Amino acid sequence: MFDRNMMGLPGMRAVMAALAVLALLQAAAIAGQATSLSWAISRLWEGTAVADVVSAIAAFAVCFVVLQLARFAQDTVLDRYSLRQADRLHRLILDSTFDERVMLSQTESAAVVATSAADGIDEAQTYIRIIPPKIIGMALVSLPLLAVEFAIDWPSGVILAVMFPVIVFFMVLLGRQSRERAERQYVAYTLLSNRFMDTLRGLDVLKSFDASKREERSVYSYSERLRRATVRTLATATLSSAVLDLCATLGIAAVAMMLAFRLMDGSVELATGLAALMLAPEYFAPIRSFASDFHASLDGKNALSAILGMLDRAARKRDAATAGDSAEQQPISWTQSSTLAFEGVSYRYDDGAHGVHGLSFTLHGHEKVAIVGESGAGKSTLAKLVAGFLEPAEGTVLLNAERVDLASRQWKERVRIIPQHPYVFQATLADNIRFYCPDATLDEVDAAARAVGLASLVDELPDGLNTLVGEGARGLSGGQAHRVALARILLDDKADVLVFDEPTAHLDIETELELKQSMLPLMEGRLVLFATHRLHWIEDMDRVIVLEHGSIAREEARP
Amino acid sequence: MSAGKPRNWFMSFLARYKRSVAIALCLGFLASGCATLLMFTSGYLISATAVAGISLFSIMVPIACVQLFGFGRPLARYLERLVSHDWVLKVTSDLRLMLYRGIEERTGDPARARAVGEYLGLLSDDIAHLQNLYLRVVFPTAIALILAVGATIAFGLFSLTFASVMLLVFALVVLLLPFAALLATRARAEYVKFSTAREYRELVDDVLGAVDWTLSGRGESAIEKHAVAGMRIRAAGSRIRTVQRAVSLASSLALCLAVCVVLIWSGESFGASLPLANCIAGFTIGFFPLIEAFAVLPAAVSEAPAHADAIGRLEEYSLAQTAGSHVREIPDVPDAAASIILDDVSFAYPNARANALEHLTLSIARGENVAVLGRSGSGKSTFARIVRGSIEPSAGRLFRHGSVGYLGQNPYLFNRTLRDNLAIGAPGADDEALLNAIDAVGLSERIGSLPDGLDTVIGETGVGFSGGEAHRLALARVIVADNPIVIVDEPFAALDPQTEESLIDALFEACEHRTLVVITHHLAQIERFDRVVFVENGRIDGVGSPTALMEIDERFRSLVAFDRATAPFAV
Repeated sequence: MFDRNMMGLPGMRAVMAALAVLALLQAAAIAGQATSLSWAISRLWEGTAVADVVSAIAAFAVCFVVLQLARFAQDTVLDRYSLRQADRLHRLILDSTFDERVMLSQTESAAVVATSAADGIDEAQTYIRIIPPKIIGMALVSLPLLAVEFAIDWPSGVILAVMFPVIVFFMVLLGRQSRERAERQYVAYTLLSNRFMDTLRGLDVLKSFDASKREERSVYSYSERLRRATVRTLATATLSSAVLDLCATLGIAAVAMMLAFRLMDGSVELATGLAALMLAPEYFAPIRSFASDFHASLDGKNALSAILGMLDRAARKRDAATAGDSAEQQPISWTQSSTLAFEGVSYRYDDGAHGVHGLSFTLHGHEKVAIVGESGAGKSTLAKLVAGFLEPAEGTVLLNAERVDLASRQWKERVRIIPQHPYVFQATLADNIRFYCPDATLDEVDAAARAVGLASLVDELPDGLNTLVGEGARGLSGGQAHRVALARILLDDKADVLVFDEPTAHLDIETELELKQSMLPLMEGRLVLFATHRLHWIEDMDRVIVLEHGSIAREEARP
Repeated sequence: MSAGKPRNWFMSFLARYKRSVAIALCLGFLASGCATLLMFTSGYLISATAVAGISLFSIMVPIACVQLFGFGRPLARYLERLVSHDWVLKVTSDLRLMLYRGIEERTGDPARARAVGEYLGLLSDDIAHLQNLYLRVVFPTAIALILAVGATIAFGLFSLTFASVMLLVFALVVLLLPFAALLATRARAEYVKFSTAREYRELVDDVLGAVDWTLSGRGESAIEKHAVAGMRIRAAGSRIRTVQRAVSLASSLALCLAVCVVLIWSGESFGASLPLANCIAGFTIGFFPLIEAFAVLPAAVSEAPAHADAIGRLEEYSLAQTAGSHVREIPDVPDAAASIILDDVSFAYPNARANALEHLTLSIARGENVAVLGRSGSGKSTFARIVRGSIEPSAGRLFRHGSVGYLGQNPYLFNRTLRDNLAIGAPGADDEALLNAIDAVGLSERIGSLPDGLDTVIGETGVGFSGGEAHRLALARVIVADNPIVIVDEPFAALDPQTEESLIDALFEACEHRTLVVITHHLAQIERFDRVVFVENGRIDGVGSPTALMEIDERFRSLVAFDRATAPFAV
């Protein structure tokens, strides 16, 4: 019942201890409230003047207020605690995402990282906030109240005690049944619920076949089928909480009737009977509250475990990376005489996708090396290994004949990677271009933009370089995004090593031809690694490394 | 946003399903009412039996009531859940249909389609918001109101003065305090909503560009920015909950006072006068379940604004359907040999500086294979949209003989059966036609290996297909639809060269007797076309057969030469 992930959160034990104290306080207040109120009622019933029971009413009010304050305190404690934990986990995710040693978005999908950092944290926070008192409440509110019930009137206590295993039995039984049923319905169910979104996504296709009007009817009929299926599932799924409700109310009714008969033969006092009756619903309340939020809490539980799992993998990656570097903190520079040697380097992806194995090659000074091979041959993996985005699983990497850690900040400062889809931030065009050199002046940015062929774009934009670009603002074409990436490098004198990862694969031929004119001058005086499958680039390279199934098939000078 | 309209729209749903709403509310009232009455009759019963010498017969009615209400509450609660979900889901169905119409109207028109894409992800959230608004705000509030009125009437049977005092307490707890919570949290809730959306956008942006942040050595500033933004938003959320808790506390203190007043009042009025004295316990104990029903209100009501926005957005969508939904008729060609004729066609997108197409005149013969070449932004995709009829020429005329089958760059496979996917353009096509089409695109073997054949569910929750296979299936779809004209827009750019070549083969084979227009920037197998049309800046910039162009057009020659050089490196 206790989630180990949640119990393992720092400071959770202290919070649990505070909650336990507050739960016992609540139980005491509830007992006090019931006894004082029942005493007052029984005296009034006997005909005592109101003035004579004022102290009992005051005692009731005090207990009531104490109960509410204890609940308020309990919620406040958890709100604060869950807030701190959410802040902490959020920062840890961010650290791993932007840390040069971990680069979480390289090994986990960027969408997953972003979703965890936003929605996942929210769900986990809610989970931490609402679940602990429900669990504690069942143990430390219900059980003490049961003891009180026994003390006041043991037959009522027996009824309540008997109800508990009955409730648990039905919940488990019905819970399992509804789960099995839900699993059977799962595929059909997701199909139905996806249907609407799926139809909207493919609306363009439907429209082109003149089928979109016809589809209208099916959208409605599927939605209606989904409704019936949902209500059917709900009918089973909520049955367990309905049975629980029934057990609770029947328990109360049984206590009432049993008390009635015992009052008739005079074996119980009215005040005792009323107190025993009043405690019955309070005894069931924590169980009902736990059951009603049980299903909703599963999302939060899963979110928390997903986040912790991700952070765990990040921590292992960071440990592995820091284990490698101890000495070298001095800046790395890459000159005409530098060499970078890979010796027997391998990399495997966790999901078993194509990696590389046993790579041995040396890169020299300012040479230009093409990496070619079919899709899946390992071109991208090799490029990412050189850029330090992935850590070799085996093998060594030597810089100028000394071991080097390519994941280090010192190396990454020197490397610029130009991917197939360079990322354009939601920012002004100027800030996008000077991303690596935020201090560059607008004139320098303008010069760089014009040098890489962005003049017409700059002139066309309403605010020139100060126009917002990127997703959600003015989108740039693939060719323009590439030019932005090139302009970044042009401004950046620290970039000694350029890694191109199939940069022009999806561009139209005329754009590619034009881009090539801007790219070639940038490659001078730098080490260039160029993964491509287009022949014409190879003519401008010094050397070609041919990959096949993750290993080097051959190396050759320019054909 | 329009403050009045969403409400009308919201009310229209309430009105359409008033029977279901009434039943759901009745059941909700019954459930809470039973809880109160169970405690009331139990208290009454116990008090009654405490009188010395009471006969078993005289407590039969209270005992029966205890049993009735004991069964009644869970049963009513269970049915209420089912009925209210059923009703909300009925509304959801209506809404989906309205939204579908609204979005269908906009699809294909790129100027309006972008907004659709933006909202697509929000839609399911919005529908969830609507459901929550009904189930978590409107229902509990309505039921609390009914309970308050019911309790006041019950008290009114005994004393009008006392009933009016209680009415004041109920007004405070049901109306005033929830409203105060709403006012006190509104500004902050607004802040949370806006900054959450903004922060989410910026976070996704920076995570997608995380590599650049890291390489630039400025990762720390990104961490700081998002950590602080997240902390601010969560702190605001926590403050909202603090206000809600404080209001709930205030409301329960008011109810505590009410319990004391009920006790004192009933003690004063009924004390020692049996059987009315039995009501002291009934009223007092029966009051507690009401506290439970009222306690949720401050939090529920202050959540309302979060849902209200979604309603505004949904309304915006569903209204779109009324705007300009006219069917465009494309006239048949005047010339028996022609398939498509564009006569001096111009087109400008709204808010665009220049025309996307400028005085374009072109005639394509039946059965002709035409390649339309041009760089991105030249107007070739606009040309395709005009011919398909998804946008109308701003000037000039289009004539077309027969319907158009279309293959786009990203073939969309629906998460449905293979049969449904293939028969989209020809509902009711028989298995033979489908299997022939599958054969024509060379997928017989692959489909044959599927356990359920044509009934296999494909896509997200079913069998996956590779990019090349998806293209083949899209082509099969066009074959099944049997359109005399086929337009293909930059079809196979993302595929590897071998796959591309075999697909082009399949395309030409399938379109042997059809008019084929291929929009492309690739020159692979360009010599197989009857004619090549160059489009540049929205105008036709050269037309001719590939062989003729090879001889006379310098640019065509250099592009072909360059394209040859982009052939894959021979491994």
